[in-house]
Amino acid sequence: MPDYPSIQTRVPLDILLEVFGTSRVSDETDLSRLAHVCQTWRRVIHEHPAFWSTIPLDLGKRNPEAKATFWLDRAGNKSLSIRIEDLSLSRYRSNEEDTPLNETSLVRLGLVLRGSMDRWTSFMIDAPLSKAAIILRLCSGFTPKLSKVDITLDVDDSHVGPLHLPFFLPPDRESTGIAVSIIGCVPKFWSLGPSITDLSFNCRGAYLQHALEPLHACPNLVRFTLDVDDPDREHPPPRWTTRSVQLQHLLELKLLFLNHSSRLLDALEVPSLQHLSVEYFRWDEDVSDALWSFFQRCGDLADILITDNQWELEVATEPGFHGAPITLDSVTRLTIHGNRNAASLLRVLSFPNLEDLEIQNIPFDIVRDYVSLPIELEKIYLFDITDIPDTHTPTLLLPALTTLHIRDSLDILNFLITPCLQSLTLWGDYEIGNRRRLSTSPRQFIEREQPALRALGFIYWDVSDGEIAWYLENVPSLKRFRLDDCPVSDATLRALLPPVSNFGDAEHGANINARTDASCLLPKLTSITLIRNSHITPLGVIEFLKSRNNVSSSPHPTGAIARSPPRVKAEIAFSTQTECKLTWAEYNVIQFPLDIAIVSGIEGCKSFDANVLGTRLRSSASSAASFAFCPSPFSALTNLSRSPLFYSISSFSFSSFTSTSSSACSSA
Amino acid sequence: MVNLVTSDNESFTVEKAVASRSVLIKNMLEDVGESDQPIPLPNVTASVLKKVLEYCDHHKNEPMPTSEDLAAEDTRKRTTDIGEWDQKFIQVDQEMLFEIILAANYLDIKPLLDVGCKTVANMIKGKTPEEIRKLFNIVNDFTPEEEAQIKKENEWAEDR
Repeated sequence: MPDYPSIQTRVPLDILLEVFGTSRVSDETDLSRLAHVCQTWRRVIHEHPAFWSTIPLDLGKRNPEAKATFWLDRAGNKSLSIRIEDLSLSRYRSNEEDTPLNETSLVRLGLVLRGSMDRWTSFMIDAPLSKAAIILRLCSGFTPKLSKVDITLDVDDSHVGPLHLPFFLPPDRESTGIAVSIIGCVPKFWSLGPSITDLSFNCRGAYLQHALEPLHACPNLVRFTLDVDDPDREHPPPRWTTRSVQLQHLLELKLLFLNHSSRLLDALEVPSLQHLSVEYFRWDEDVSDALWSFFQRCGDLADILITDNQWELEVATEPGFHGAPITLDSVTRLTIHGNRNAASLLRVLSFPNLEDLEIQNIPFDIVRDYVSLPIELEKIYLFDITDIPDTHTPTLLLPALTTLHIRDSLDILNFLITPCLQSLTLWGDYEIGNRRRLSTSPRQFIEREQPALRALGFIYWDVSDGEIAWYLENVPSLKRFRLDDCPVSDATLRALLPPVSNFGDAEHGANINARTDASCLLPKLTSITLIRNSHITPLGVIEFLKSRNNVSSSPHPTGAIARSPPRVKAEIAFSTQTECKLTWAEYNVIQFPLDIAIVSGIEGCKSFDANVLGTRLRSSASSAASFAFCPSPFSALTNLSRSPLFYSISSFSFSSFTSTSSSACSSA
Repeated sequence: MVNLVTSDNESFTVEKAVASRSVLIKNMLEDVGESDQPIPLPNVTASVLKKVLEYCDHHKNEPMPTSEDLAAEDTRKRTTDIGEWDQKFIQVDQEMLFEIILAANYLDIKPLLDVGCKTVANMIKGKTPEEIRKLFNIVNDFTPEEEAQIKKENEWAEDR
């Protein structure tokens, strides 16, 4: 044993409590384990009711009812958070033998918990329906403090009836916000309903009209998310029997995977709605009609996101739309990914106050109308725009535009006049087989507009080092530069190096190549993102970052490492095909600059993952951050294998950063 | 400037902004007003105070946590994340770690106390009771009967 005084005698109890509290909430440490260390710890932990106010129960373990009793005995009169999970292997692995359903144990658990319902603040259960139903049946009663309900059920029969939520509020309880999330079935609320402000349910396979029923009990909803893959796609019920639903206070509505979204939109009366999101649906003519009608009823919409399943319904020609024009003055942010049905609806809508527009798969003439009307439009994302005319006359003045993303349809640039543009990102086709060469449009655009770009990105293009060099020379104001999935090489990085001047270092008797960046390309560069560019190598990146961050080729004689912030931060991911075999000597040469370049470029590194000669080394959470302080992140790796003549780092990656910069790197 | 005198009678002269990271010292300064009188710190040795002042100096320009901040800290989910500088600062031997925690508690420097407690919490994380005993030089003082009782209590941790 070490000869210093023990924590038992040194640290006051209130500080121990602080430590245990930190352990409990940060990694959900089961404090019963810490209570087995010694009598003092046991007493401190057992006598502190707050530690027992969250009751974590696993239905896959023995006697959860005994654990619940033990916890409740120690929780005193504290408010309670109930967390029930079934973590038995049989639930997740089909080859595991089913855990027998111990109904007696579940009944006992239900009875134990029922006695504490007046103190529940949150209730969570994640289990098969068969087990959850037993507990819920018994836990029926008043829950005056309840503010959060989270239920996830494995339901064998997708057409199961509604799940009765047996929690009740006393009549005198003030209507405060309760958040309810239910996955697996349609809920049925009783007196809880009017207090629910946040509701999310995912009931794949339920009929839409059944899914809407619970809403009648929740008139005070503020946020609602519905995810139903309703089964009646091909054979919808002949009559829509659901009454319209009045949600006067609803501000946010999110609908996912609806096969009959038009019917739902028709049924909802949400006059205060500000944020509408409809995703993963089939955009047919009924949807266009329903949206048109919906927009007429919602005068406060500020943010609209509608993205369909493009692969589901291809429409050869644009149908006519006969609704009257609608102007949506309050909308500032609009995202539309649709087909030709979408286009027909968009022709009768106008958004004069847009600030942020993302639009995909829509004909150019609609885009032209949408971008030329709002004078405050700052950001535009134009993806796969169709029917771009051949005439190339710059006619579209976008006076406030600062950020422009274009995918595929680069010829749009020929029409744009953008006096304030700061950020331009050009996207090609994600499919490797469809990579195309850059057209001349971006080059002509930059020559004509000469924008003072701060950020430039090329993503998924078959572009050469020479072409990239032209852009680097012609946009000297760049601060952020991004290249993703392009066949460029280290030559592009070398073009960004400052010129070299040689001078003697009398003190160390060595010649050191010193670079100055006074005359280099992109002198203002602060951030570079290089993702899976097939010919960019780790050594090329190291040389670049080392040079731009003025890192000396050799460490200080004392071994000290300068920790000044890097001037250029990097986000790096090498192509998995990249070969980088390093000899031991080469490894020793690069480890210092790599430390500076990569580690200082990813401030806030939280975890480190490495695979060295087949040995997996993982460092996360507690010890990971210390990696950032190692003289070299690789010094830890060298301990694994001291004497290889040939050293191969097969992969390494950093993740979870607090800063905007991150890095991932792998080489083989 | 403020003059601080440690339990081993060593004197430290520091900026008021640095010393005032300690709520204890800040309150004392406010109580006595402008004065050249040294402030005695009978519970802190020179080696520990030097370390604590290093922390205070690094953080001297940060806003002091308000009572609202401290209340919010109690309610939101705390983490064991420690800032880069703090983490390097707290890489000390266990004896010094406890001394810093005790000093932070006495001097009422809540952010430093947090760093210390989080560091200990990180040391505990994922360890068995026996590993924790070994780490902190703790004697297992349970009787065999108590051990049996604990084992019985722990039955619910076993699979069905």
